[in-house]
Amino acid sequence: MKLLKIEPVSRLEGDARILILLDEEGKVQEAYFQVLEFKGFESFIKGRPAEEIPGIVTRICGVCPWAHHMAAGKAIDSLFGREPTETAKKIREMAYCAHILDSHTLHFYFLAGPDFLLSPDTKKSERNIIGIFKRNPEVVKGIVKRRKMITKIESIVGGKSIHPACVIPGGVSKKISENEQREIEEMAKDLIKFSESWLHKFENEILKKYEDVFFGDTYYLETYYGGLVDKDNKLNFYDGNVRIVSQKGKEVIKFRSSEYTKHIAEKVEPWTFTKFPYLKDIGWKGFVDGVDSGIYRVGPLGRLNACDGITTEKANEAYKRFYEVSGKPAHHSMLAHWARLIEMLYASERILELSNDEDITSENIVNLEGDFTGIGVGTVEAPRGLLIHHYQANQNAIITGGNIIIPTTMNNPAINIEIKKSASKLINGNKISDALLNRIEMAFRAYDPCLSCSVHSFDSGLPLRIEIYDSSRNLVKVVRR
Amino acid sequence: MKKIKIAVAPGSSCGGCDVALVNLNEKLLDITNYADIVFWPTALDFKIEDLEQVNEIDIGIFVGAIRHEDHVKLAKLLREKSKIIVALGSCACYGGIFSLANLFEKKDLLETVYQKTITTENSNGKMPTESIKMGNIDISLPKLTNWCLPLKNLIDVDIYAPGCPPGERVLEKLYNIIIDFVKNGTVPDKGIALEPLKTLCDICPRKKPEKIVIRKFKRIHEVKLDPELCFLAQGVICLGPISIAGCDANCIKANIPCRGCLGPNQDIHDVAAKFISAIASLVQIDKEKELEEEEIVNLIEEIVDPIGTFHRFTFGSGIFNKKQEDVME
Amino acid sequence: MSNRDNENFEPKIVAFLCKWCAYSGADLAGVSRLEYPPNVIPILVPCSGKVDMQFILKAFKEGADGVFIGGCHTPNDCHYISGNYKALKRFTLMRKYLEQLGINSKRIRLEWISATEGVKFAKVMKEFVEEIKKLGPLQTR
Repeated sequence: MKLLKIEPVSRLEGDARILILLDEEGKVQEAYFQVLEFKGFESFIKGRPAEEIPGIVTRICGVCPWAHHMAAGKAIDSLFGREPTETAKKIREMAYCAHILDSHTLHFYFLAGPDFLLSPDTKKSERNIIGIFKRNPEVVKGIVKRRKMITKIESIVGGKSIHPACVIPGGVSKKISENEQREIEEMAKDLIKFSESWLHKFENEILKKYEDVFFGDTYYLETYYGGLVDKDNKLNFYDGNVRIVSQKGKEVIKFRSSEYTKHIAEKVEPWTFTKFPYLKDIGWKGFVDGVDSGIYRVGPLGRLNACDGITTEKANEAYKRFYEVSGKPAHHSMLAHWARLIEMLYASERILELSNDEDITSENIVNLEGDFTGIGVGTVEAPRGLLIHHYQANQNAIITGGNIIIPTTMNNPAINIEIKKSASKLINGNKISDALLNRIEMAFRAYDPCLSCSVHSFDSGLPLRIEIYDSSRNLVKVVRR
Repeated sequence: MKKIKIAVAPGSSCGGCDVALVNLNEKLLDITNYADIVFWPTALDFKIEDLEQVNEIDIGIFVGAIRHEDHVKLAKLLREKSKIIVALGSCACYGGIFSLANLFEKKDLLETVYQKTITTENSNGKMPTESIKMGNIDISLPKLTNWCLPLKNLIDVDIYAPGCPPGERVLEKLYNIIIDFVKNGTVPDKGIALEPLKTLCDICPRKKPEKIVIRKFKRIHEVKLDPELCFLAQGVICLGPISIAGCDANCIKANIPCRGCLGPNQDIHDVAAKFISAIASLVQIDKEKELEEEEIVNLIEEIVDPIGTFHRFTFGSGIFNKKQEDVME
Repeated sequence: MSNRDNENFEPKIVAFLCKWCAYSGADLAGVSRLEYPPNVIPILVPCSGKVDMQFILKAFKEGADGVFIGGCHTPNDCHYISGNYKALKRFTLMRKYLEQLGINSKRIRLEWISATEGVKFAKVMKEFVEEIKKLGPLQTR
């Protein structure tokens, strides 16, 4: 047996390597996507004051800190029994959509971009954002200009774009001024045009140029898909219920995020620091896709597959065009890049909508009243998929335990299948070049992995409390773990 | 002008410092006119073999703390090849928020994640610390170090550029140092910490009363935070007095008190102990003799979580920081 | 920790004593030939309010098993008016910090001892050394 190493993997967030074991004939016997991150948040989160948690857990990840800030913030709202004000929810969602844009533009242009804006086979030393800049400086300047707008919107609300500080129990810490509202509105209009132009470019140039990559059978899996949907089953990043659909696109389960432990469990393997979630209702059948395997995918592809449409006009048109081409659900993993651009458009439109809302500049940004419950679950759609934070605290509001389910971890089983599958197809006795190895790495890049996130779940001893009410809203039963 | 070589190597990081570098925007693109980036896994495709073959690196930027043996190897490799080593971000400078894990034994941290969380199914007790082989090929994961350490515990550091993520002023200075090095060959003083002289209080835009008195401590959920008055004057703990002024008081402007992510002046050995000395003094400072000792003690005891609040980003470099010999078992 | 080990264990105590009161009290104990354990290393400071809390951690790191701070009585004995109040407040918060670090907060002690209280000084030192003997040596990692 021979060992082929890709170390470290590149153009993603986090530390990992790929090990491929080849037999004597040079065929792939086994492949491992080894995540090399370990932090220990699960332990040191205990003993911290509950209201400080949203500011602490942003450090789980510097690429999607807003996702943790929001999900934890929502959990802590419940823990203090405080319903955020309407204005606070709108400010949060608006800033959060800006974050989706931040993360998606970082991924599409800087991380995945070189494979499509240059090519998968471009020379290693040039296959990066600097290479794109050298060949087409105007394109990169345009991207940089918009990223500045996006981080400006994030900073207006949260002080800074990386590791923000704004979510407090029951609301947000700062109101939006009239000037800021105007600024955000102008920037949102530009961002909508920008997203539209890139969607156009993608649909008309990039898709065609790399048809084999997007529609070939190298990067293809038929799994379950999951995402948050609102009451009309439409896409929403900030709030909703979890919806799981099958390989045929039919809804199989829908649950409130507080019920997640009934539906999701995680396996451990000794060859990676990250775990393997799967759907308990279906069961773990190993590293295979298909209707009998509980493996499910989240993120842009998972979200669009799991929802019935998008509430904003232009993004919804883009959503329709997407499925006219790919069929629903879309199983070709590389189409996640297209889905990401559609989400950029949705996020931009949503920012414009919210910035125009009459409530957005209100002074009423925090609700300090509430009955302390000591427990809370908060969910958002992180850029990479479903994210759930769950906390418990003592009477003095000091955290005693928690759990967290991360999107990239949910995609971990699929990523591993794809690495092995693409390696098997591409290597198959062929000469191993740098370009070939890059095409194997492209298998995980479709998922926009966030590996710092993926190694986090919290602790033990977390009682779950379920209250059952009858139709007259009388408390009938309390179930505790 | 010959291009210099820059490498960005990751330890145990959250990725925020990488994004902070990307967010340099035009300045980053400008740097590429003067420098070849020879290693930066977040943005470039060079692999570890490529780094090993580079002869000399001018500026080696290390991001993140030291958490397992691959980080140890990478840090040493970078030091060997680099003229100047930059510890970028509070993790590399101080251990960062991840060094709070040092409150626990390594064994406990691992068991909690891989055996005890409520959604984990691991009845055979598989652990990522096992030695695993496929045939005669070792596919084991790197071993964790005993403790989560700042970079200086392992190698000589030339420049400290702290922040979580590094603040604008800090990055601006780093950019200037790089350009100065390229154009004039200027090598900065050893151990220079970017922006060491002022504290956040010096650049804070808030109204500061003549005398700051704390009557009662308020946690941030217990009171409507006043966006204009000094937090300490509101009874809300803020680490402004002890944090170096490397940011633009962004959290303060967002109406959230400082939690010290930029760390202290160089001459402070333990941020938490130093801050305790400072903050405790302010309690009822104008009325001390009018109160019973017990009343004063009760007020102080309302402070929750000194370590998580005062040492959130700097625990790894506190007085109990771990010695180099302690690194692996 | 077995009893035999405890019997052999001789703790090292660092005592920060203020010049105007506690240190003079310690001097008086000496001049009066009052017995107290030799485990105490006295350090003269101008005021208990001068004791930076970092000194406590440094003392532990350098091998101390217990740290003592001696100051002037409240409300009015402090030569610098209210330095002792600062010491009291800092000491209170420091105890919480030490507990979080896994260090028993009984390893630090604050007492007001006037220049005439030689007897009190000897008594307090005896008590403190006994207490630390029971706790055993401080295992700093």
